[in-house]
Amino acid sequence: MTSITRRDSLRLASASALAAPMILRAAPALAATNVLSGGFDVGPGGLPGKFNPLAATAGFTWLNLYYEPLVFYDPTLSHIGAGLALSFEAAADGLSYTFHLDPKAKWHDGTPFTSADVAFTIALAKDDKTGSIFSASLAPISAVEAPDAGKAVLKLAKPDTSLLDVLTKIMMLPKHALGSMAPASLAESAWWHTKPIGTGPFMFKSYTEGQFVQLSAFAGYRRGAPKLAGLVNRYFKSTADAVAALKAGEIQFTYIEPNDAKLFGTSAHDRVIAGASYVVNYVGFNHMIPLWKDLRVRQAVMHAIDRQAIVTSLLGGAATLADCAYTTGPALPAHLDAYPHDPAKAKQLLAAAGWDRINGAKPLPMITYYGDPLVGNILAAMQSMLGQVGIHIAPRQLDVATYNGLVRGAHTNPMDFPLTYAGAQDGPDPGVMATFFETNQAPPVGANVMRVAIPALDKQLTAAAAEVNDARRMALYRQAATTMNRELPWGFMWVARRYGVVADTVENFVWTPAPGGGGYDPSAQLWALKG
Amino acid sequence: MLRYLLRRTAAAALMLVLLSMVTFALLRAAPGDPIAAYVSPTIPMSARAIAALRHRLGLDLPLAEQYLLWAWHALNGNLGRSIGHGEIPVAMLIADRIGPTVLLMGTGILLSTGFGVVLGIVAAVWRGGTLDALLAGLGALALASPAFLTGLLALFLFAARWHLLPAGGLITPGGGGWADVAWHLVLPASVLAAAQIAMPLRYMRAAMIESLGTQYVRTARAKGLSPARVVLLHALRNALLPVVTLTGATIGTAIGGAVFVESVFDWPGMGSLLVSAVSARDYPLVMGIALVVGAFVLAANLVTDLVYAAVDPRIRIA
Amino acid sequence: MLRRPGGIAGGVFIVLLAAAAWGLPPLLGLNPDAVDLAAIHAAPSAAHWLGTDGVGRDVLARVLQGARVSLVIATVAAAISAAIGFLVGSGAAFGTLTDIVCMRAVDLAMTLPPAVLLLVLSAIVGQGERPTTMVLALLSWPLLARLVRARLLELREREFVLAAQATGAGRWHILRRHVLPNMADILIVYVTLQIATNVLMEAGLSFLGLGVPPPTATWGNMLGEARSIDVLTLYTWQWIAPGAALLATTLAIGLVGEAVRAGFDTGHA
Repeated sequence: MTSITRRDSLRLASASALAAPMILRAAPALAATNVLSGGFDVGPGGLPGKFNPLAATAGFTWLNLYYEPLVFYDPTLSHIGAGLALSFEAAADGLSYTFHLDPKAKWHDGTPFTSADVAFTIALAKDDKTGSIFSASLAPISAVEAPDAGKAVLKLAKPDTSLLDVLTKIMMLPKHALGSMAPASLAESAWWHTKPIGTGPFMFKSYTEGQFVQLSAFAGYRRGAPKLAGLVNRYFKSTADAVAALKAGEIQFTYIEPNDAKLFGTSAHDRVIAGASYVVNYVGFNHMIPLWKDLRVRQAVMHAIDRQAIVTSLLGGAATLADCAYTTGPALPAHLDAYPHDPAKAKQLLAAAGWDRINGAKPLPMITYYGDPLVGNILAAMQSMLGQVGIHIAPRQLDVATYNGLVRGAHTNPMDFPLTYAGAQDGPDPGVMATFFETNQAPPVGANVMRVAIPALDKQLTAAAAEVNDARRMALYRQAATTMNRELPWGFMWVARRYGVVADTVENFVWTPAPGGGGYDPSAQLWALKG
Repeated sequence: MLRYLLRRTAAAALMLVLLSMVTFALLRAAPGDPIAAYVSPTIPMSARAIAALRHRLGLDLPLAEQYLLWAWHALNGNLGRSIGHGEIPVAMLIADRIGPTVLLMGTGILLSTGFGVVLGIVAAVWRGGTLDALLAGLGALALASPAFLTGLLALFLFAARWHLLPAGGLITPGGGGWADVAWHLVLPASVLAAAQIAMPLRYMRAAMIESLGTQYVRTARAKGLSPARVVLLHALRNALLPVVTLTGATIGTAIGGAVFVESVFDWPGMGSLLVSAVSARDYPLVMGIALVVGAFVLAANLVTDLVYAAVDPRIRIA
Repeated sequence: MLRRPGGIAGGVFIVLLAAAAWGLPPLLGLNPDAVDLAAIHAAPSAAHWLGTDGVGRDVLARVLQGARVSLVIATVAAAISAAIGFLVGSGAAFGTLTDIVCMRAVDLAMTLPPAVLLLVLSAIVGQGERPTTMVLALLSWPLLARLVRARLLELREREFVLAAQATGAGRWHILRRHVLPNMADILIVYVTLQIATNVLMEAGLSFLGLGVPPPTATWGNMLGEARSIDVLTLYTWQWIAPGAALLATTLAIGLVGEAVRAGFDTGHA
């Protein structure tokens, strides 16, 4: 134990000595008092340099500080509640949602926020021409009504139980500022990174290309003026650089890697925040090829891989084993087959399935888009473990473009990717799994890149998505999860934990490693710096 | 002279057009496109959103039309917007990165040529001796060790072990100024220079040996001039010529070395920008960088030839 | 021909390296992919002479696998580029139109900054042993084409070629019987030096993650992992061993190449 501590502290010393952040000009004057600096776009939840919330697949940790959605998750991501709408109610048939807007809400230029802005924003987000990535997920909305300035009613053509989840990612945009712009010119507009206005506790101040963004306090914020005078979001080339900046006291917050979390956990000056990544890692079986038809082969893969050993030695224990797509929340069934590490059983299953006949010793490529050495090591471990039971894989780390080109391509030879190692967002709403598993979600329509086709699973997922009653809906997801566990459309591996660290001088700080970096209420008006 | 200049410039312009066509064709032959690089496999994007994005970026147009459109905009000084870097204009991104790269390469080439010339003279004057053999060995070692290996070693020794020099980046965060930049430049520029030094050293040595043997130098020596005067004033003037050409030709390979040095030392230059642009299939950005780097190399070649012509009276320019 | 002691030393090293790369693993039972999660980042010891890496793989086994991969890729790529360079160069020397086309192509290929070409090409052909070989082969032929063309233009005017042409010998016949033997020195020196260059470029591509992808061990891949501060400062054996192997190999091949070149030069003089 002592040796580990010594080694780690040496590592830390060298990290801070070595990793000089890559920036061109001087960092923003840190002399400004009462300003919190952080690496808000560091890590997988960040999207540095992108400012258009309609095109944002991530980066919500930062965007949520100056824009706000109608509804927010709570910081534990278990419940959707008030945002710009103080309350809302859904009709019993699930075909309309009424939102009661905060009467105190104002845009940063002082203009009141009204239901006209809601109608305007939804129309923009539904319009492909704006470059919105939400057009498909908002398609069920047939109309937005504004009976008065403080009330907005969303009418749906068919019930859509993930609508509220989507709405946590739709930042309200000002009609009076953007209404005159042609929707098609919106995506390339400089407005987003020069003078955007939102309703959040902080106002956009300036962006220095590739280096940092500055926000200043919005005194007229609906929930009270922020305690901080401003925020600075510094960009870093790597997490290690951000960690070095944190150690040097240049920033007070950043996302950190699990290895760093162990080091910071013992420090008296910082607080580590942990949370589920909501990304389930899996070994994908390409169902277009007959190799994986036999369930016993898929079970053998599960028994052959010592998931616990990989989590313990390579992931530093910072992950929860997954036996279906979910590892937390109401969609996780109580009893699942845990597929313990059992090479002997794996060999039996393979022999029974006639593996020697279907494939034998022929090497099977296992592709991934993760380029980091950690995943390289994970795949090497899998290669060795699977090799022991007679499944010979050849791991290939590709770039994202090549990976997507292969798995989403219409003319790809399926034998080019018999196996994948990938991740998929699995929450906080369990409904997000449908696009990975439903038969009709195969590319180019959805993200079912492994071409899973299990009719029972299709039926359960479709039924759950259409169920308006929350308790019954979750019961249906638990059934679907049980089917996943039994049928193994993927070889489920684990859900990693993600970490952030914040200096002890920061009070009331709210952050959680949510998918895409946000969707929850950061209550940033309460953030404060001690002393 | 003017006609020669015009002809060479026209040829260089033609090469640039060809270069852009080849880069364009090569890029489009690569698997995956900017959209494929943009879509996260973890957080899915709908088919409709993908199609809309493709349309907005003009990637659904016929290939020839895409190229002509790009060329037309480029002629008008508009290199388009980066796809991977938040749709920021390509020219702006390149402008931000070109300074550090020119600084790194310029210093590196200056160091390698300077030291190469001096050591080449030393080797030639004392040829056949221990010093000559030592320098020959040094040259062979420099040729054999890639910039990234030298860079790692330098990083390990000077930054991590002895804490003498900063490990990477252009400036200290919160710092800045010329002294700070120069301090950060020491390691990467030295590594780049070490990778480049073998050629000027060898060329200089060979040219000096030849020059020292000429009638002209022997006459100077016979006139009783001091050996130092003979070497520095008479022999060197003749021998410098091949080194001038070499320095021009070095620029192409120095750009290659710079990619690795930038990667090892987190130097915010064009090399690291190019690596990220290629892996993101950021078409406009790759095209822009290829154009700028190509123009730079062509201009360097042109200037080298002109200098060569000016220095060497034997070359007649029609 | 190998009168230079450096050339002999280089040659001996290459032979020993090849013998170790192909001979040692079966002898010592080394497996570059064998994972030992109980011995991660182990320092050199009797069990693992050069220590282990981040998943407990034997560094010696991986350095030797790197040697096999490097030598094969570099040699094959050098041979392919020699063939391309020879054909393009001789094609250029035999016709005015082909000369213009070929030499413009060579000019263009030499103008393209090698780094840009290397990166874009590797993105196109993808990563792996075969694609990397292709990239290296496609990158290096223009220089040889130039040399071959120059030598051919000189040879074309020689009597024996003129005589062969007069007797109505075909172009292929002349190329094979008269030209190739007179070109041997250029080709041999080129291939030798190109192998050294290819070893370096393969390592460079892999270092940037654009060459042979992990888990295949190559020296470039192993060095690339040293970009992580941990590996660079704490697990030095993981990058010093492949670095030393890379340096020694390119140095040795370079020495052999220089010796061969010197041998030919004195032979001609």
